[in-house]
Amino acid sequence: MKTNERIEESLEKLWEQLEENSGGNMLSEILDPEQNASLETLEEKGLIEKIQGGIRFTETGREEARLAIRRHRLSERLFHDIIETNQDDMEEAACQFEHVVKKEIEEEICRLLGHPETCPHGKPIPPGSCCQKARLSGDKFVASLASLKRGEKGIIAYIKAGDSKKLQKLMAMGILPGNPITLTHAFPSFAFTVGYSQYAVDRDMAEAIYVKRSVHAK
Amino acid sequence: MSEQSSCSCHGGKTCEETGLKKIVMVGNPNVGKSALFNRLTGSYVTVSNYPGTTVEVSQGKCKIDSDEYFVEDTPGMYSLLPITEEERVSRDILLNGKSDVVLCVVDAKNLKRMLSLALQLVEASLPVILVLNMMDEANRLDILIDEGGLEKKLGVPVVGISALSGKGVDVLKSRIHSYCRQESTAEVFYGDTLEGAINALAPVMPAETGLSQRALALLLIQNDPHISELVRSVEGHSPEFLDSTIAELEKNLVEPVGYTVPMMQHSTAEDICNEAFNPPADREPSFAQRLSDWTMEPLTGIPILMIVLYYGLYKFVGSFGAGTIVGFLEEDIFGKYLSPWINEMLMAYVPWGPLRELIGMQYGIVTLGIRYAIAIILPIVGTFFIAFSIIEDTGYLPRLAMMVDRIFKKIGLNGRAVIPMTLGFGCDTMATMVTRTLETKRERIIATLLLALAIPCSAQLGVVLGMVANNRAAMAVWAVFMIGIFLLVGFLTARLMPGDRPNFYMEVPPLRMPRPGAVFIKTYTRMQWYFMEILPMFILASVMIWLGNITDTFKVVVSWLSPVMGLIGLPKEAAVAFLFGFFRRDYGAAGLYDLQKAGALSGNQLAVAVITLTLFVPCIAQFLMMKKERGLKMACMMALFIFPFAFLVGGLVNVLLNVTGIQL
Repeated sequence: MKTNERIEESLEKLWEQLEENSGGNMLSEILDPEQNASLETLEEKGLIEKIQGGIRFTETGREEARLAIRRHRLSERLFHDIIETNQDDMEEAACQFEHVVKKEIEEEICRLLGHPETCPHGKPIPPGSCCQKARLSGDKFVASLASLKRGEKGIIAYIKAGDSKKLQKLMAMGILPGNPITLTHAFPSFAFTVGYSQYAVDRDMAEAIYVKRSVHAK
Repeated sequence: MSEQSSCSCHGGKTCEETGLKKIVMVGNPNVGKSALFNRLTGSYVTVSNYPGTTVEVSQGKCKIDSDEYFVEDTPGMYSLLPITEEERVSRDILLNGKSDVVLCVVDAKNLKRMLSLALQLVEASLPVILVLNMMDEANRLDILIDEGGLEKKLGVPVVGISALSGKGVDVLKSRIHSYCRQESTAEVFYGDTLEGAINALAPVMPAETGLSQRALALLLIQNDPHISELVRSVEGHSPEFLDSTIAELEKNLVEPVGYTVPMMQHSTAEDICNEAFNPPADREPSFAQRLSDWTMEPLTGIPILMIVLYYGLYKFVGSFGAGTIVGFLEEDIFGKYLSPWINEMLMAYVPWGPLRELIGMQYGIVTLGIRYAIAIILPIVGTFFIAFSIIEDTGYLPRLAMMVDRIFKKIGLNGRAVIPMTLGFGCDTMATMVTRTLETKRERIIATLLLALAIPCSAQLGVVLGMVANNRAAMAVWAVFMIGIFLLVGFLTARLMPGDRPNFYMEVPPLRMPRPGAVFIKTYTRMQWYFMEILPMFILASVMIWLGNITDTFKVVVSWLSPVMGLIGLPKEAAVAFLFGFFRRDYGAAGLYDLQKAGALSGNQLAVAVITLTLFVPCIAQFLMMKKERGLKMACMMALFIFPFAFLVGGLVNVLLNVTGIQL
């Protein structure tokens, strides 16, 4: 493993320990000498500093760790939501993928995923600048049909491929990526129109349909 | 598409059994296929199960000029790659049968999305005529369709019609009559990778099916299990070649086949549509659209449902059917004229007592069986079927399904089950048959049980409502208990039976004004079925009751039942009513009705009696249908649960009322 990746892995572990207080492990125990850069290396790089009874992030270190954890959890979301790999594969794929994600791609992924706030395990994803912008304009670029407001219009972005029967059903009915869609009812179940047809589905099905929201819809 | 033999107008293969040319109708659900089928065939139609399945296929004959055609209407399908059993039946009809013309019926305003199926059929070398139905609706929306342009692009005849008004049907008939295969037809290009695999696989596909080898290869690539089995069963193929070709393909494709293939089909369809199909920009929502929105909104939808129930069920079926018409037929025609006349004739000409009892008198075939069938059941069920057909024709049911989906999920069903459940209020037997349209076995079992237990059929409902009409408190107790039991038993069954959560997805057709002709045909077909199925049961029941009476079997059974009656706080005489109730749900109710009229039942007893009776037994006809649809074991298990449960609840209600000191 490259030095950079080892540093990033270490930072992520320290982030969970220092910022999220997960577990009461001794700091020296959480780093695996095989996989992670040692505390000494991190200190040398100016990412952490020793304090009384432990360590803390330097300002640079903290930012680096935040971005590393963000990339890791975004990658998990990507593999979980869109590619729908199983838990183990997701973990492994995300671990490799996170290290090759550039900043612009990271923002693209974040946008595609609709600026998610938590990873599939429910831990918070530190927001990037794109998330803040999106939050200010109240806009999530791509969101599941179930999260749209009633009357909202958009373009079908993709159908979650997890359950292929569900995909086949929706596609066969003509609910296809690229088509304009309007959510007409959100309670007690979901109803929407595509073309001149209207469909009614339950929450499960609505959550499988991802929609590019049109920014001017409001 | 591959070259097809040139004109084969009159040399085509014909329908094996009849020697007639065969027309097969296919299309998405809700495109008006049945309406067109009725236009083509008139009402000489047989409905039968597709071999080995419970899916129904309608068949009829159609005359064009002097030639007679055999017409087959298939269940709705979205794609050649089937998901439901119904879609598989439709596909198998195309796969196994040789058809002379395949009418691909689409909803003209949704041409863009439905053209994909048409393309698949054309690509499968089927003799397709594309029928653009509901042209009148499309015209009203200012959608312009260039039929000639479509015809050129697809290479098959295209005819715009309105099956409801009949416009264009004559043109369609003449195009069927002069049908002739074109030299070249439209084809989807799936990209180099997929095309490579299709071309490699196509030559080893069986050549003697209704579908082209290319279409079979495409289905095989999409992992269609039946096609895979079919192809592998052909001798002389090495399955390794198939497996390796498919594995190789999957490796080279970026996206899954299940995504790529439909996407390519739809984008080809869109390309074709872009030139021939011109939809206008958005328009103001029409009144029908607004009304449609209201029906799906709880705030307005629930009042609308109440109005539908009040006028459709209570007023039309309850007051008019069960009141006015039954009163006239039962009391006037049978009560004053027919029954006394029969009995007089019997007294005069039939010397042997038991034979008199068999035909006339209290429980005879004519005075009980036929009288019940014609004078009581016919008007109630008939008015119910009229109301149901009207409601069905407006397109209201999918909207109701959407409204109740959440509640139905709690009892292991999904919104779709609202259709058999509503139909159950007409005839539980017919509704039990309709449960086959539910997707999973689990849903079918739960729905069957609930129909048998908690949904009273219209005949029963008529008598029960008649009994409690003057006792509003008893009516309320009855209604609350029935709804509570429906939900509770459904909830518990869903917990007890493992299985996936059912998914709810349904197309919601536009609200339409029902057409009298279509309503008439639907009602007529249902009534016909009802009579063929039910009338023998009535006669059988009369005979059984007669036998039971003359052999004293009934007395014995009644003597067993009497203590049970005592336990749930009913008079002994009620035992007779419950026993007869097994032969016909409503016999039982009617028996109690007489008891109540005679003033033998207190308010509490009345409530206990109607609750027990509604829960008690599916009638024999329903039980037989349960056996047919769910198997003997399952039907017996349900009956074994329902019998004690009905009395248990009856007893519980009795105790509850007594303990709390409530007098209804």
